Amino acid sequence: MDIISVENLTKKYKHFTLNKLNLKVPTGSVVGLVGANGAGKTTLIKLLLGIIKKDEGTINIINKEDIGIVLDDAFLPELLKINDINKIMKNIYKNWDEEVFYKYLQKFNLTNNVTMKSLSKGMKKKLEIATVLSHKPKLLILDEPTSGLDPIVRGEVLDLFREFMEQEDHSIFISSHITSDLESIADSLVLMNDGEILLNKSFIDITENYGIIHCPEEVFTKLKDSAINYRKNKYNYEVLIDNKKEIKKKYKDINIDKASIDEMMYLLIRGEK
Amino acid sequence: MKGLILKDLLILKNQMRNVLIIILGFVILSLWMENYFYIAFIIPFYIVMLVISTFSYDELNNSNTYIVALPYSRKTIVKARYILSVLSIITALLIGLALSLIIPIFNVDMDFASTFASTIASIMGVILVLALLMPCFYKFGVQKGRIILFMAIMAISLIIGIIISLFENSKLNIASFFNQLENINFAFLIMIAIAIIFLLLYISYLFSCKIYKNKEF
Repeated sequence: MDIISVENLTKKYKHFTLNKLNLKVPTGSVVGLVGANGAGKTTLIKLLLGIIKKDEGTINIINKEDIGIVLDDAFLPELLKINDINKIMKNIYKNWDEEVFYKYLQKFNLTNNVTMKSLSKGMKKKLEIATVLSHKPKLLILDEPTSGLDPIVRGEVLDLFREFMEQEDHSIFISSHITSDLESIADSLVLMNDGEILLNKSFIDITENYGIIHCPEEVFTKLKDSAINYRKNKYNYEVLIDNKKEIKKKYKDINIDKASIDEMMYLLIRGEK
Repeated sequence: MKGLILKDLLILKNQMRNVLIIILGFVILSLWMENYFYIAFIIPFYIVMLVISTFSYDELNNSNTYIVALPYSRKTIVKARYILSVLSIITALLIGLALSLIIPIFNVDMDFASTFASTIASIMGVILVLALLMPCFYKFGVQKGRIILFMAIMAISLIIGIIISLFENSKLNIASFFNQLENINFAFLIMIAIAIIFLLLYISYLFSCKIYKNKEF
């Protein structure tokens, strides 16, 4: 079963088109979304949440009541106080759990009832995450939830997401520029560029089959046919491959490095074919 | 929907101190000018205008984007705002009523009827402004909406001016037309005016729903 299923999703803007996107988020999985600025990640998330209207295609997604949202730069007005959030959400979500909310606030050291205006960016993000986890959602849609958080809090937040995933029917769709976060919680990776999906693979697939080879030109000429993309540096070549096992068998003395998301992104988007 | 109305009420509550200071300012100004009509006029006006400020806060903090992603239909979101407006109108009316009862006690020159009449006139005017303003805000946002409304009012005044001058040129006597109106029951006219204004508010609501349905954030 898929908790999100998108087919041929198209959204046209003057200078940007999200073009016939196909995507599935299986129930019980964490799907990470990466891409350069302007790749269309936020557009995709806004389409999923009905913030903007699609031009073509279909979106199948569960009821909004069961979706927890953290948006990149949008929340309730900043003139509200922390306790106000509880009062409002109690009247918005049927499953709102006041106790859980205050438990998270305690955990995040958000115990003073101040207006959101006086909170730092990171504190505000923590408040949003406490909010999203307190109405018992089945699916989290998170747009840059860890941006602006220090490494310690980021670790805590990721732990909370892991805790959320302990229930079998829970799922997360998360976009982030902090790719190490995705490497640690996501089951699969969707890489977007210029309104299209360049790569959609599970992390198991990526670790098993993808790799990066740093090599001199004479080795590169041998490898060129099996390379997906490559980059020519001053002294060597960086080659992205997706058939690690075969290459290992064929060239025993070649060293294949693990492909990090950042390197893969760079090579897929900027590398040569 | 209760959550959305509560959101706006809590925002207003959090700035209650400023609101009270401003209202106190109006009271002092009114006493100083010895003009009690002023207070009966301005306070209801100010209260309803506070509703408008909630639009700005939603825009300022990008909250519109968040709110449309909540489990509400877009129609419900618009409805919540109009209900808030009606609530504020009722509040303004009650405060106006209280003032109209209190002011004559301190000033023998004033009576209940004339004070309350100025409150009613103020509220009617404000409802009219709200009815025009809210669809404009939904369509163009708060900043542009204000400018466009201002231009619309200018255009309407201009058109009315032209029509009146055409009437005058054609030697039709407007004064006699209004004199004839006075012969009709005055209370009846007021009832019609109120009915028309609320009808306008309802039409405004329908327009806002239609605009908001396709709005993107």
